[in-house]
Amino acid sequence: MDKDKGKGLGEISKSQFCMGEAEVMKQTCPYCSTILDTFHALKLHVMTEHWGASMPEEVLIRVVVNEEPYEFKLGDRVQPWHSLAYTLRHVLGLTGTKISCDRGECGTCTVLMDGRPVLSCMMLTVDCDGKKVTTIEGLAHRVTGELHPIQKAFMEKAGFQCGFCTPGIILTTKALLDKNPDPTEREVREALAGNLCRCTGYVKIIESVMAAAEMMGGRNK
Amino acid sequence: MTKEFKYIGKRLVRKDAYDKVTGRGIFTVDVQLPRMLQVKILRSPYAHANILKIDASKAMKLPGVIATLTYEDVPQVAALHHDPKAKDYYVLDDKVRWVGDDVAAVAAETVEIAEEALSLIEVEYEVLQAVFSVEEALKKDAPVLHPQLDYGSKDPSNVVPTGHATCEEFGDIERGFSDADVVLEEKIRIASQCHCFWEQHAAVACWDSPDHLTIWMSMQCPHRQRDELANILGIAGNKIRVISRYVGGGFGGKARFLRHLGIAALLAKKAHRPVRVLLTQEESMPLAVRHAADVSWKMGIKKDGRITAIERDCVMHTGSHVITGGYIGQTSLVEPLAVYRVSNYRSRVMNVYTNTNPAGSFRGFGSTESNTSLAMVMFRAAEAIDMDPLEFLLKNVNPTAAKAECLRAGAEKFGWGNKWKGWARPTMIQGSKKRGIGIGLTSSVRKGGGQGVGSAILTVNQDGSATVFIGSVELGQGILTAVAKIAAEGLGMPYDDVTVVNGDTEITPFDSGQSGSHTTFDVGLPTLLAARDAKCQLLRLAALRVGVEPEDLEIEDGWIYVKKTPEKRLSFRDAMFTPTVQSPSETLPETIPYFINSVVPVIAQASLTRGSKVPLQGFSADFVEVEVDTEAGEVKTINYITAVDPGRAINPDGVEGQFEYAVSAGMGWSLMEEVVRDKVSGRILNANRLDYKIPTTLDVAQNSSIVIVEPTDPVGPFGAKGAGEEAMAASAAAFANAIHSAIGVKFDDFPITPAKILQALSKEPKLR
Repeated sequence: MDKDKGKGLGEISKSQFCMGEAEVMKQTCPYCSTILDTFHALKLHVMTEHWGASMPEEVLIRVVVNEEPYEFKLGDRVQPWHSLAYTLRHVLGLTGTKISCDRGECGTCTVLMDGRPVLSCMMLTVDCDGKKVTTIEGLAHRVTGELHPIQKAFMEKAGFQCGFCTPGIILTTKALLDKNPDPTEREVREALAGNLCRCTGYVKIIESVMAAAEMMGGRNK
Repeated sequence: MTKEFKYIGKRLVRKDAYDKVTGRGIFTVDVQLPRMLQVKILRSPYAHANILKIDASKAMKLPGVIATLTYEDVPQVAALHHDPKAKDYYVLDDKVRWVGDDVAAVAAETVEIAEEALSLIEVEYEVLQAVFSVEEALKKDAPVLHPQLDYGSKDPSNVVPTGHATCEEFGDIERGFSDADVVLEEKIRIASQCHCFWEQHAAVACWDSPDHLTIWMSMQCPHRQRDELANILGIAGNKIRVISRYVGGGFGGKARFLRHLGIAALLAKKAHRPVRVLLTQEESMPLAVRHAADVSWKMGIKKDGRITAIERDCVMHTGSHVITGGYIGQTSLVEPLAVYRVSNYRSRVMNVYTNTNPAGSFRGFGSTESNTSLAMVMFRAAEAIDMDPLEFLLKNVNPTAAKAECLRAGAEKFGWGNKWKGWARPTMIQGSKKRGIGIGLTSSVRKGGGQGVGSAILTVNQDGSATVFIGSVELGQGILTAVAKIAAEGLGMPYDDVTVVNGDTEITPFDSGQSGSHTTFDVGLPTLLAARDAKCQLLRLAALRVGVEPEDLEIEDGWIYVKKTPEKRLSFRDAMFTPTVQSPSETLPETIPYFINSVVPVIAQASLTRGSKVPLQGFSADFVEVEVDTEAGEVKTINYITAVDPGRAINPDGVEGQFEYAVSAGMGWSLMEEVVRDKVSGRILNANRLDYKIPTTLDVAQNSSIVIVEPTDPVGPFGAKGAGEEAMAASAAAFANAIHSAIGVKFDDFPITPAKILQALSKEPKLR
């Protein structure tokens, strides 16, 4: 798989994204390997060129979601054109991952893939074979259910309003703090530049991230 | 300031916090029902056309298609709450009026099948001439969008025949102008704006039985939508259950009935299966956007800074249908009066139809249509008489409530006195960079009438905890938290022991909906009254139990004390689990017998209909310092202060959040967000969040703060009157004014993009 595929907005600034450095968004057709510009173009391509076609072979997708292993047979519950976001929400019932723009613009559907933030609306599920995915449902302690410090910080600092972009923002925050436990405010803003929010004006979101860093001990270094 | 309160004004963990940080909160888009079908809507390729023939039979033959809907299947009943007179909105119509207008809909097993089926629907259109601008629409020979409406004695035209007021006048306007030393005339173009709420428009409809509909919808007014559906379906309201508990943002865009709701209900009925309608971002963004408006102002001013007269003429671009245009226009007539003191005044407004997407409500509801442009005119007026704008505003600000106090508090925190150096003198010049400061003032007149209805039912549960039932939607504003705090404070019990059940027309009482920042007042007050009633009931029960009078008792933190012997105390549970045989409620006969050792239910309810005589006047004053790069045309926010009077701030986090939003969305509106239209078809070319630029973490002011000035309201719950509606009108104007003071250029239209700035400074040839 293309190593850049699914690189999250956390690692690409919005300006880079807007300047067209969006090579990462290119998609490969799983049937004929044609490279297409957008997910929607791929969807159209698959529907027009390969609709009803039999699978090249039996394709199994093994993916670990929130530490639970899943195996999907392509063409069964997972179709070639299904995005990871769709599979998470509609096949696994993990509706904590929200979809807003459904075209890689807003960061709402961010999940962690092997620890890195990716836009799950722009990832095909077929491309997730062998990946480890963490969604918002996987952040709390598996046994005790105790919330992750980032979640606690967002609760305490009211770092949300309508709450629709919140799961994506919390997961981008996790990726940031895992890599950089003691970020400056500027670094937080850079990391979250691809996670848009309309309700809050970002003030309390930034405060929540800084509070989370402190709670997790980053600030005491 | 809030020392006497235990919860009011305190920063507590919001009631919706857990649901939101864990992703567990169920929004409409998350509702999945067994055998649920997916709906796609066929949209018009023409800006103006009659549908001569429509045939969906081929679509029906596609495997997986279960039902189709065209105007022939739809009761021709107009929406109830859009305008009292201009009844122009049907679930589907035999005429289309903008590129993207709804033509037909399909319910199928999957979205992909539904999409394919749309291409099989055969439509024969008679294409009509279309008008995209107000100028074209007002021409004598212009095609009329809604000739079927009642225009009274006038000929049918594109001027909306609204049932709302279109003129407000008092004093002697001519004399006011003749008394003036300077008469200023300005024409400002208020730009349209997309809400960009995060949860796209959505509905899930399910007929539980042939005559009972349950429908989840991402809307701001569940009870109002129940009315609308009952009207269209011709069934009683009790047969319709509307659920909108969590909504992913609204900002006004989800306040009024929209077609997809009717489509969901009707298709689910036809298909005998549940359906989900989920509009894409590109479909959602053009719906019910902010009205663009051309506002002409004429202002008479004395040299000493007194305003002698204000005249306003406003033309609102309402698009294809009136969603709220008439009502917004009416509100905009009086908005300036809540901000400024003026004795000679005339204000006129009209809404004009064009073949573009329908406009509707968006944060401000009239205050942006008047106060944003007026705040810019006020700034220019101060320049015209060479006066410090702060001094000019203080001279003319409406003396009621704490408006001058807000203005002064904000100015002090901002350091206006030190920063202001006079006209044509930027606060700082460094190379190509110039800094300037600006002020924006606004209010929102939240009149009662149809808008101000709220109610609450409070039950004290057997164990002494409490549940409050309210009709309101939680769309991020924090109403669950506010109501829980009010109930806990009013009843004297722990905040954690209060649960709020909301937004379900089958369970919760009537509520006129979440718009205009009036829920804290209109639902908060009934909550407080219900809490006090429940408290009285508990005291009466406890008094019987203890053998004292209710006046001898006090409630604190969930315990009932005998005032004189506070070591004696009863829990709510003890008070209710009582051997008495008397009813605690005055509304019941005194002697209803109860079984010994049984629980006496404590249930209280209250409601209010706020008449138009109780206008809640929110107020905010915004101060901003910007740095304009005269080489690049970019505008950077240096410092931002908002001073706001919300009455008592029940949730300080919530009040701040409302205005932090405004700093960001107001900046977006005035500097970044532009609705770009195709000149040939009138459609929006950038209805997505990549091409329509909303602020990111890197764009918003890094140095902003909110000053809450808290003069309390005499009626509101604990003195609260609500906050947020007014916010944007001030912030957008503040940015425009700060740019004016930095580079001396007065921009008459938004957004003030780098290209426009460079063009104005003649740095670059005309870009378009």
